[in-house]
Amino acid sequence: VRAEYFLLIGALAAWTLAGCSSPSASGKGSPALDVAAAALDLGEIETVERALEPQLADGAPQWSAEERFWSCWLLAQAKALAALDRAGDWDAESRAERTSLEVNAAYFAGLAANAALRVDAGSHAPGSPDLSFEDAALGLELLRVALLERLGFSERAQWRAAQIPGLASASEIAADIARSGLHERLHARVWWALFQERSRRAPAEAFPFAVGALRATDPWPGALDQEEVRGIESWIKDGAPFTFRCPECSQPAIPELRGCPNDQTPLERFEPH
Amino acid sequence: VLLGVLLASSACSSPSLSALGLGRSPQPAAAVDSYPPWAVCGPVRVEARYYLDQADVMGGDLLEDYGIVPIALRLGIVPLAPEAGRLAAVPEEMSLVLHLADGTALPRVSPLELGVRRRRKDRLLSEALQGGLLPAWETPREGFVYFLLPPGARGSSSALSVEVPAPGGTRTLDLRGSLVSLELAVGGTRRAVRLGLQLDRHGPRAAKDEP
Repeated sequence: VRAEYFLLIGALAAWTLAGCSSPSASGKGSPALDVAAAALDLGEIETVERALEPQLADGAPQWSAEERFWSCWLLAQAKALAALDRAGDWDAESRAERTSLEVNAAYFAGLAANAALRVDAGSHAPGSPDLSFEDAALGLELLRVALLERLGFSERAQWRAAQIPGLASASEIAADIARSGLHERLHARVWWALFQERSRRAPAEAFPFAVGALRATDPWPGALDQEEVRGIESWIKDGAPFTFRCPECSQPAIPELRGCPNDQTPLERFEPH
Repeated sequence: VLLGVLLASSACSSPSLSALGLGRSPQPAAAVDSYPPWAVCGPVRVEARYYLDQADVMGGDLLEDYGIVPIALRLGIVPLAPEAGRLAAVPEEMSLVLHLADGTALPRVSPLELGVRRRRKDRLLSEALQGGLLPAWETPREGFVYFLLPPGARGSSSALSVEVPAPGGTRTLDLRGSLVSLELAVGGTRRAVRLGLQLDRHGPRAAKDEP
């Protein structure tokens, strides 16, 4: 992390000396994008905003579609992460602020989706040559589903999820999320949205999605609200159409433990009865 | 070191003359998806409308002249929900916020707080959403909630857009991408409700007002 931090400072200094932004036509080597990408990895939300939002203001020098896509892709994630940071605040004003950030994230995700229509397939993420445009676009669609579900537009989220190929099984989704380039703190929110969608549409198939959401939130406390985590655990115990039992000892699932208390069989291996 | 670099970089993002809106024509709003203009919260259904002819409804263009976005809300108990009992909603306690397409939050304001002429104020009060027991959904009852644009923002009724201050200058937003958030007390708990805006004309209200 320390090395990444100094890399970010170096990139910021280079960006400042270069006059804040000097995007090339191809989008390669744009200092502002490189700074923002490094900052997002470190969770430096304000740096992402400072680097990119002025470039998207009315009357700012026109960026290429590629640069607009990547900048909005980064900003959508930054805003969604900022919304997660508001998860512990429970007064009405804080809840409204959180909604604003989620709408803000959806706004930049929508702008990115518009720009994506004019991006060449060979593009890759700033600072991440291994992340292709196609995979990032997939991540963007998953994030849009997650934001719609979070905002309470379940039918719209369900419709949008149906447009994304490769969401049939939990293993496919795990692979999609892994290659999407989405910040890891956002993975649980994608899983939660897809669990909600599946539990409404095909509850008999939803158990792996529930486990996926719980596993994704474990390393990132706050990635889901406590109420949302409790909702998933409650569904596994009482709401699912089956009782899930340990294949080794038939112990009914205690999802809070993420496995069997008798033989430590992981929750993923529990079977419906 | 990081702070110094950020301060230096912030100087680069100061708004230019063009970004401040001087010497240029209005920017078209970016196309964004709209949100569904209705929501169901337990036994309560909510719809939100922005009237294209709000100037006729209000006797003046609130958006352009006063920076006020008037949103018509309709709340009611859906059929086949007898268990709903008696539910009440009072605008002052509903945490009503209008979020523009980019999330910019507009607070609800009472017509009493607005610096408008008395006749206009009376009109706004008479059209405002009234608190009380929620009626059955079939009962046509609708009232306006007024949201105030932030300082430096300006609306265009013809373009259905709002220009708001943003990092680096301004940002032009399509009103159709806005979202209303509110809270209702249902079953003893406060529940969040979010819905988009339906664009409409005065038609249904005019029909209702006819003798």
